[in-house]
Amino acid sequence: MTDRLLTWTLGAATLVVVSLIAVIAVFLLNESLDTLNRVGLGRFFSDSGWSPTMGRFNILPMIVASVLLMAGAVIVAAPLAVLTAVFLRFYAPSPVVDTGRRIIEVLAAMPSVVYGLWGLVVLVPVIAAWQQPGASLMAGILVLSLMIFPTITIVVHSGLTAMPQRYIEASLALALNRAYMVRRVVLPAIRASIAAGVTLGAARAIGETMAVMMVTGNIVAVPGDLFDPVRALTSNIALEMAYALGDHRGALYISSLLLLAVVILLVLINEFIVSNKCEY
Amino acid sequence: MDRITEAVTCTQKQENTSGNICLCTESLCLSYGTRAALENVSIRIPSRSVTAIIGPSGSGKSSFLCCLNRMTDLSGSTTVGGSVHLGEHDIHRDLGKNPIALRRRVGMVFQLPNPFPFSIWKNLALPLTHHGVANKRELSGIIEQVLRRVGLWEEVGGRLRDSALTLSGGQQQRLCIARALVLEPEVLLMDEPCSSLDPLSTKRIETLIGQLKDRYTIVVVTHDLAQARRVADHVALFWNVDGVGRLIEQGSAARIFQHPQHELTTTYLEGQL
Repeated sequence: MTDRLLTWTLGAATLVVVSLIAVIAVFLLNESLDTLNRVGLGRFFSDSGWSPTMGRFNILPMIVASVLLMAGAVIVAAPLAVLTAVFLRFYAPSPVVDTGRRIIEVLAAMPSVVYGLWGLVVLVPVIAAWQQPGASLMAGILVLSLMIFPTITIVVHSGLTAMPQRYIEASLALALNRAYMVRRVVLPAIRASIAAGVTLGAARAIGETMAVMMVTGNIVAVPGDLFDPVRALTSNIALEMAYALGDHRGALYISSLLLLAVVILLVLINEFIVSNKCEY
Repeated sequence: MDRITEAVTCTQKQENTSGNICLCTESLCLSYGTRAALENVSIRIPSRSVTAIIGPSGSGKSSFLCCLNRMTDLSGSTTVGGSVHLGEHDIHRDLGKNPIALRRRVGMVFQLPNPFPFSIWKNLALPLTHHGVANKRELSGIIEQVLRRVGLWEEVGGRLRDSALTLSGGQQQRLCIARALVLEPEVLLMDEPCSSLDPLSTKRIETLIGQLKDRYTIVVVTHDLAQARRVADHVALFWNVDGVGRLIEQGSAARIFQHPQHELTTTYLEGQL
């Protein structure tokens, strides 16, 4: 009897969450459809620019900006995160491990606006002193790296902690040294955790709005180099939703839908990598 | 690591035992933090034969085995006293701070089969590439040789790229033995290698132990007295005396099983009969 009750409760809880996601997706799709039919998908990529009030809907520069921000952040943060996790698991003395892990947890939970604020008042002027205007793709990548670094580190570190001790024993008994063991046994054995961490980090990077908005300058243009200002898709939605009407509003819904699609794609890629791994 | 170093090499300690002594310990003590696990173990392990370490749970058999290839270094709080000699060398004094040279000479097989979650090939190639074998032909040669030696070649020779985890438990354990053999160690330590296997796989491993002793010195920890009778040339009985593992009696298998001298040995053997 209690078992059935539990089954139903759990089932209901799952159903609520799943249907909420479905409701959001349907809502976005529904709000987008009118505009999609009227404007046509092609124009979102081929119009001469982004002036939605004047009927020009090219969101391509913002897609490019978002993807570059995400890719840049992952390229900077992922190797650092993996190295940090390995250091904490295999090299650091135990007081360092405890403190380090706690600090990283705090960093992972820190509100993004705090990162944005730091980026705005510290990082942007530093970059500006080097290359004008400072608020740029570069600033966005660095702030995002800082944000997703702790996320990836925590996931990879958990993977390292969960990895069976017997692989380590086997490696040492085979006279492997620690560096070789980490490189050839440990990292390949936890590649599913690394993939999960990177996916989570990438999803956070592409979805981040506030911090990106504060440091990237928000000019809609495909960047020529790292020091050009850019506007991310997310920032665009936040900046314009308040006054957008008609197809302009529809275009922002389409942007949201696109972001959702990217995140789903990331999860699918992760799924693919995980399904190809060897189980412990 | 504080140790009472004794300048006694194995060769000087040969009395009472026929054949060469491969490994010997002198007043070996081991403690984890403040808790003593082994006390005053002086054992002689003859080369190219099977020595079975028997005794009830908690008598320090596995801890003893871990002293022989310095797996005890793994946890920071262990203290080893006394000495362990591998041939002429004191494994702590002569083989340096780094146990890697020692572990190349003393291989180990664990209670649970522990192949890496990679292909069969990579499991065997990994230690070889680390120790400088890069030539693919040479790798293939050694891999085939060790797989034949453990009787796995016929079973898996055609699918070396499959994950090692697709093998059965018994096959995995033989793969782990093969993996320990790729570096051509002198000694093979086996910590209850059959305790997780079915009777048929157990039998295969025991046969294999019998075949391998022509080339390697084998030390096998076992709970199973019948197994010790089947595979061992020499036997050492460990016992938990007041919470600390001690060596009670050692000698040839025939002598120990037929004429045990110590009261505890008699009790233990009878209890299991």
